[in-house]
Amino acid sequence: MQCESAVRNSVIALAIALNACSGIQSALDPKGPKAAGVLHLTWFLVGTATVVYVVVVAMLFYVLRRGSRSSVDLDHELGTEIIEHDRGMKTWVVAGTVLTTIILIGFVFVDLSTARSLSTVGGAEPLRIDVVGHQWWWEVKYPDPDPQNDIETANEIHVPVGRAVLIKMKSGDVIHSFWAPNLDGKKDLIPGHETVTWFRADTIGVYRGQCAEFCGYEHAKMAFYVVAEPRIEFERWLAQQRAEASTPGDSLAQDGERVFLSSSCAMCHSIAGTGAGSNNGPDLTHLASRRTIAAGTLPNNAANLEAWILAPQTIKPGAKMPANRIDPGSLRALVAYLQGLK
Amino acid sequence: MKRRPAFDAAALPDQGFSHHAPIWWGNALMMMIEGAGFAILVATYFYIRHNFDTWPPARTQLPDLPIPTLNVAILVVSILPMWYVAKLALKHDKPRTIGGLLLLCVVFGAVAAVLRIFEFKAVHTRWDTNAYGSIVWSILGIHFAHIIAATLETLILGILMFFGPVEEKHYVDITVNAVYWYFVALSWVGLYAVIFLLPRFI
Amino acid sequence: MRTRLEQSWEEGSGLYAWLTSTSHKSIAKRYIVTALAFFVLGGIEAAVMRVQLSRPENHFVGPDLYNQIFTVHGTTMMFLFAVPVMEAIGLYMVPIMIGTRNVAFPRLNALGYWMYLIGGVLLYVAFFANTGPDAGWFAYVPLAGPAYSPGKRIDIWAQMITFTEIAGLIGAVEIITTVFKQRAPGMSLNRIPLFVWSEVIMSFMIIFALPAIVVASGALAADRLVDTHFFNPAEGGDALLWQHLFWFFGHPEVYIILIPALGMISSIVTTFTRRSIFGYPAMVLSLISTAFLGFSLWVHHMFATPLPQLGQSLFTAASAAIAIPTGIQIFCWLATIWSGRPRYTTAFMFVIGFVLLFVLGGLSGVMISSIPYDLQVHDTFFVVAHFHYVLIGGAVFPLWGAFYYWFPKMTGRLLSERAGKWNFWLFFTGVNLTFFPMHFLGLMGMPRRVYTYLPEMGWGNLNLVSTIGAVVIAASVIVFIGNVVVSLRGGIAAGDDPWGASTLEWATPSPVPIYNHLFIPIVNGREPLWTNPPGELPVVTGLRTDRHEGLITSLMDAEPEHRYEFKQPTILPLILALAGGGSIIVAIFTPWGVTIGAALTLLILFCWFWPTISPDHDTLRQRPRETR
Repeated sequence: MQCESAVRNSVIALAIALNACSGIQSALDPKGPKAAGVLHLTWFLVGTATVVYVVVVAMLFYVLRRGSRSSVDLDHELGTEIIEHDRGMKTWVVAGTVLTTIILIGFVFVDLSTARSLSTVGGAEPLRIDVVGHQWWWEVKYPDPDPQNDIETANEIHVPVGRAVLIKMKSGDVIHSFWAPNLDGKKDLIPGHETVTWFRADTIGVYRGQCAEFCGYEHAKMAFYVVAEPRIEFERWLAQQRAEASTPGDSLAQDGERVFLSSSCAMCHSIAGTGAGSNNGPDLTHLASRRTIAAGTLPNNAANLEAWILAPQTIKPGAKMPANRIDPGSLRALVAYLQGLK
Repeated sequence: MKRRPAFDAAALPDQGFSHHAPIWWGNALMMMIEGAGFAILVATYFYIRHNFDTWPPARTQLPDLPIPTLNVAILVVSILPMWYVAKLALKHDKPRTIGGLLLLCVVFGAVAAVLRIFEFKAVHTRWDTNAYGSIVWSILGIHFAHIIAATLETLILGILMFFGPVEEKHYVDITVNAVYWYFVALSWVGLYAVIFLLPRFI
Repeated sequence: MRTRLEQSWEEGSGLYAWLTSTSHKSIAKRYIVTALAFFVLGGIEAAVMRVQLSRPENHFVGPDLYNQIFTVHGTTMMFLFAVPVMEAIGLYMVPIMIGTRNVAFPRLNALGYWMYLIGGVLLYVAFFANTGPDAGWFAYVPLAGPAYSPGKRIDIWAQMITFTEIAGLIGAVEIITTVFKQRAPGMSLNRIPLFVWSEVIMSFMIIFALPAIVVASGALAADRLVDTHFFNPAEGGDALLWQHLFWFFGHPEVYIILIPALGMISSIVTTFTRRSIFGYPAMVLSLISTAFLGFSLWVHHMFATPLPQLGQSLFTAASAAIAIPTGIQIFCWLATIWSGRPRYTTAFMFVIGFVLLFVLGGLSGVMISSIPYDLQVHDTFFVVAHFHYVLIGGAVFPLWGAFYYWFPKMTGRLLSERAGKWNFWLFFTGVNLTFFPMHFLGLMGMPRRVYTYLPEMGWGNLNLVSTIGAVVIAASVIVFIGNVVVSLRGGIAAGDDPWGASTLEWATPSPVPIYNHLFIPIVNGREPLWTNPPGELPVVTGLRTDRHEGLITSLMDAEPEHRYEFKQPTILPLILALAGGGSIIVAIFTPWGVTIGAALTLLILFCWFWPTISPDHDTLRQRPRETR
């Protein structure tokens, strides 16, 4: 529709001016059919709402002007009778009401059909992923018919481009909400319930998501990344994740492994193939393959790892990970070990 | 502002009964508030029902029937003396008669209150056992507070009938108190059905 | 006559007189001043949030304090400002507008204020002691439950709710009873001012909505204090149960706030276009439909939860439908303006601002009634933009207009129109600057309730604009306060009727005498001051002046029925509030608070209800007609 694209174009111009349109966490930059469907709906809603608003405001200024120029001598007139019998006025009000109703019915109709078209899981056999929300990180599992092949990771989801992904979600503590706006609307994770959502990424890229239901202290720093990659790379990633932890390459990393296993780290974190099997905190088996640490808070590199391990409370106050008293040498070894866990 | 006398209120009575009295409306609104509260509690009861496979939950006995049924019967029957009191109050009958009947109503209320304590045991669960226990105890408890408050109010009015100088407006208060008592008694019929009868069917 | 009335109604000055007052105007004024104080506090909290969010990775406040601040901001604005002030304007103006001398239950009215004050003080004492609630004004479980919010923060929140809800319910009972039974003779239902209708309808909504939050907060407190399991999924409870209970109250709550504001608009438009509102029956029916529909929308706050899709769709339709009665109201106002002559007083400017802001907010609301759209913008700043436009535009702007309109009646002095225009333009500009960018921020991915965000998200510029807007709003509030302070001393004297208005409150001097009207007026139309010969009013005589006497009339046609005695000043409401309130607070710390408190409360109620004996108590001789 011409009006729609006119609105859309002006909003886009404005958005570009505000640097809004492209974004790794933006509903205005869809990378999959669900977000795209919602964006179409958005333009329709914004367009119609703008037209309605302009009409109402125009009516307001029209009546204000008309009233100001009224030649009626009001000081000597009684207020009631004239309006009671004004048929013309009644027609306008009724017409306005009917028009409003029609527009709203149209809205609801478009809403419901959009919802219906987005609800069927698109495509063949979807990829299954399980997500468990925790304060303040995302536990991600790829279940497999053969449990040996189950994958566990944290805060990062890899998906093959063009294939539907079905996510079953639970919460380990309070209500969270899974939201990657480039791909889809959000769905809550509610303790005591299992919730389900699906999406499909149609463009290669990395998209950011964030918890969208207030879940305590560090709700603001509970992000995750969705990496949409070609099928071959995805299969490669799957295979890599299925493997046990890489053995430490050099002596520094070996020291690091010892530090890990002998300190409190192993009380919360698991590394497949070692003795550490706790799942209070994220699984670290393939930590080095992830782009960020602390649920999207910091890029994953040596310096950030050192800072995080030493004093997580200064980066993410309230996080469940305590500060660790560890001497610089051991810290360097530990980080070297962790960076080898590809 | 020039004022033109157009109605003389001096001849109007001091009091009105029933819906002519503001206190009647205050009471009616309070019943609406509390009725809404009870309705929400019942809705919560049904909501919680969905979270259990069996009802009452596994390892919880069905609530007993004898004492609860006796109590709901007593509450319903107690409407009669209360209704009669209200009728006498409308006719401005002798204060001592009304006072005596009010004290009889207090006896009914006291008995209901005592039986309510046994009803807490009759549900065979505690408030902290599970959500079923929590909602059942809440309904029992909140209605219990109603019985106590209404009985005490009846007591105050009864005592007044014997001791105080009795005035017109006290008769209005008595009729309004009666309406509140009907509410307390009749609301229990529904709540009794939910707590004690429903688990046998759903 | 006047002196006799003054003598019998006179309350005196001094602390004891103030503490024992049962004057509806005195109590309402307290409510208004207290509510405005909370508004300022809530605004300061907002300012702190805006400073923190103005730049990415800002360190103005840390997460714990920020989370308390946004919780206390929402709680303050919704529970301690918006509903109390809307009720309070009603408690002040409604008795005068319907021609009676006090509300139906003066002592109960006083109790309501004290409970409200204690609740608000409780919240802020806790907040200043770093024990403020921090789980959001909506306190979702399990976060707000015993496992994830240890300590007393949420208990304090839950008990504060008890106080404010008791006060709210009391105000509603007062307004309904007073309007139903104490209207001036001749003020039949179809002659009641639309503002009075809006207060009655709001009050009925309160009656049916507040019990839900009372049950919810009671259940939460019980889960936290005595180990019930309402919201514990491990024992058959449900986190979603909280959401249903909360929003069953929470959605009507916003209409409770909006509907009186719509009534204020009607008063202001009538006076400043000098036209009776067009379509009175449609106006009343649309207020009533809005009230009913308001109860059928609550699930639209829960679209992201696993509720069945078909059920959710019904709520989409209802949420869109509620725009229709509000639309009817706007069309009728436009029709009224069209055939009248607008006078651009500050009050009228706020009406214009209302249309511009509220319609925008209403349209964004219709947008989010769509489930697919909502699933993208739910819990983002888009929603923050929406509700601030409808709440500030739809409720605060009419309220400010009402202040400029009724201030002269309450104080005898006009507010400065010049400062008023500054107030208006700063406020209007500030609101748009603050909240319009938030529509974009939400679509650009910024969730709510976050104390900071990363620079690379690209949200910094819009957030900065929004913070600048907040500064402008603050300036407008300062202008308003300055205007009030200066006008109280040196404002132009108002006289009875500075605006040439039509309703009964303008038939009595400004400030309003304690007994309201010298003689109860008789009414023969919707705009009594316009339909009677100017300066002339038929009145009722014969009411006693040696005691506080008013007139009771019939519900439908306001025909005189009997006389009524208003209760005189007493310290009992304050004592009951302290005892009852004290026991509620103690109950946060020990269950004994409930038992001891209940006993104490009952004792005081005993004294309260102990029937008073009139001086001339042999009225037994005077039997009323048996009225059935």
